[in-house]
Amino acid sequence: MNYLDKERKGVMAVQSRRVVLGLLAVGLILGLTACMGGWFTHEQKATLIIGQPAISGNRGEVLISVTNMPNQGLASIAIKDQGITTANIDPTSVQVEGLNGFTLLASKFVGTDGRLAAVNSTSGSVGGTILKITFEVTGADPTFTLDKTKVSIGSALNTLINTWDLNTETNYYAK
Amino acid sequence: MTKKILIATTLLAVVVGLTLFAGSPFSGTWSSEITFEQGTINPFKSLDSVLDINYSFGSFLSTSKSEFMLFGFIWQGFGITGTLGAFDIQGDVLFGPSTADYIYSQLIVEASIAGIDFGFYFAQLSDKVLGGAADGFAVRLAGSVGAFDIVSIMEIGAQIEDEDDDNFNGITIYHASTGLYKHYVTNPIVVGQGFTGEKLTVSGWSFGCVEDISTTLYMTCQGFDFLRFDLTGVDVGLSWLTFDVELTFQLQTKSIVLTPTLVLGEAACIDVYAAVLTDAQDNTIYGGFASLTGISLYGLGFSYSWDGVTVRDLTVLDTSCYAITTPEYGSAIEEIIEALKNGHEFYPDYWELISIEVVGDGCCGGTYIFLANTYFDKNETALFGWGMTHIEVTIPINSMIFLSSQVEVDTSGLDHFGFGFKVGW
Repeated sequence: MNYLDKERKGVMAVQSRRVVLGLLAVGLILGLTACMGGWFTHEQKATLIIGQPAISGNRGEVLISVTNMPNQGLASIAIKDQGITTANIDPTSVQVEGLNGFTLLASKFVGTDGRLAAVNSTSGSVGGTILKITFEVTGADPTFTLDKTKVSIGSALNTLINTWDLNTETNYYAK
Repeated sequence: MTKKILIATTLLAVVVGLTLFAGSPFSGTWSSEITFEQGTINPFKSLDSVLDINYSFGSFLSTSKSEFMLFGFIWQGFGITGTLGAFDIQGDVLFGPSTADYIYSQLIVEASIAGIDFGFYFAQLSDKVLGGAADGFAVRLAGSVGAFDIVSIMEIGAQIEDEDDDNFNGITIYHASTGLYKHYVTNPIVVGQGFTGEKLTVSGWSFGCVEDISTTLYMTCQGFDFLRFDLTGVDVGLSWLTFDVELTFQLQTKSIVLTPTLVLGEAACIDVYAAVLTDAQDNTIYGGFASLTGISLYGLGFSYSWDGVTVRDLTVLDTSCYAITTPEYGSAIEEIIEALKNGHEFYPDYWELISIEVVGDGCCGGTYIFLANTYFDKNETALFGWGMTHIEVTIPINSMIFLSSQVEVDTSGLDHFGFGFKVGW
């Protein structure tokens, strides 16, 4: 009885191994032959994302985020004078805070115009939040817009990132 | 005043009432915390409220998770887990209530038959997410032949997270206005469903001087992508040093990266944080960076517990590369690059933490927790360089209801304080 059990188990083990190898081979062949379909692969571009202002009472917050940044990620950002335009925001109340390793180097908000510079000296951010801007709301529907032509971004490899999109419309992004 | 009493009474009645569900198919938790700060704009710093409701039927458990914060109702997730015959099933759906959008869904079906693990992973990403819409699925087959473990993942428009491979990270979905995010293991990457990749991994090879050798072949629709050999724990004859070797072949390039690891013995109560340095910035050996330049002692840790009291001390000696994570992320010393990669929050300026935690049984069930963390700032010149003290207390009313409070004081005075509760049923 024991001898028969052992023999049966041995046969089952050999069969299992053959099944595993067979399935893997079939999977690989099917997968590779399926390539012939020439399917479109979706690509995401490097994008700087300005979140919609989040308002609570007279306090507002805007987050600046990035996604799909190349060359080990974004490590520096400079927004020139008048690169930021605001409405219904008290410029004297604006506070800029670096997030996830970013440090604010300088910022200035006067009237409806603003500028800032920030850097991450440790590493780059491929995706995620980099800056939080807090302000006092002075009217209905405060806005915070960016002029892409006045924004420069650099990578962790100390190279300018020239090809990127500015996004202010989408409420969600993925990494 | 009457209105405040009415609201407080109603809230208390709801909280106590929820505990009456105990023993029914319904279970769950509701936790909320509000914090205040001193400021000229308004005193509210944050409001976080999470409501989990579970309902069990047969061998299945369905879940609902609702997450609110000061700026609104951010996430609504639904899930289901259970077993149907030989199949383990998991489903997740995510909505963004603040924008009334469907965001993401995934379905995972797994089974183990005759020693072979089958896995079917399907996911769909809404076009409301930047980079969407996308959908696809992946089929995972895993088994063993002798000492070898073989894993085949066929990607039909989706990738599966692999914790050992930085190229396969699953998907993290962010809410752009608040920075809140959700993570899932199935990452849909294409529009429409066609073959996008095949990853074949064989591991379990071991020689006397190497812990494990793993081989990974990755093919995509464009053809051969990479072939990689990972050698883990290469013994070089030194008891305190091992190497991990990663040899990667791509179509036109070949690269080899060695990562040295310092092997330290077991410590009784003092933990030593140290790393081998090379002339490369990331302390690996590759290309023209081939020198071991030294050993960095970047931190020290002490921990001792007795009778429910735990005393900890963490000292970061190299604050340019390492930091102490916030209490939510375990108050541990972590390399800043790793913390950023893992999404862990940390204190960039604090170089030392002294922590006292007291845990004990409450009078009527549950456990109370008192935690006091004091941090020292590398830039401060005040008393001993003190930077900030964070205190939080959790008190059980019974085994199901907990009240909590926290306060944080730094060199500029009171930073914030807050109150919260958690009720389970």
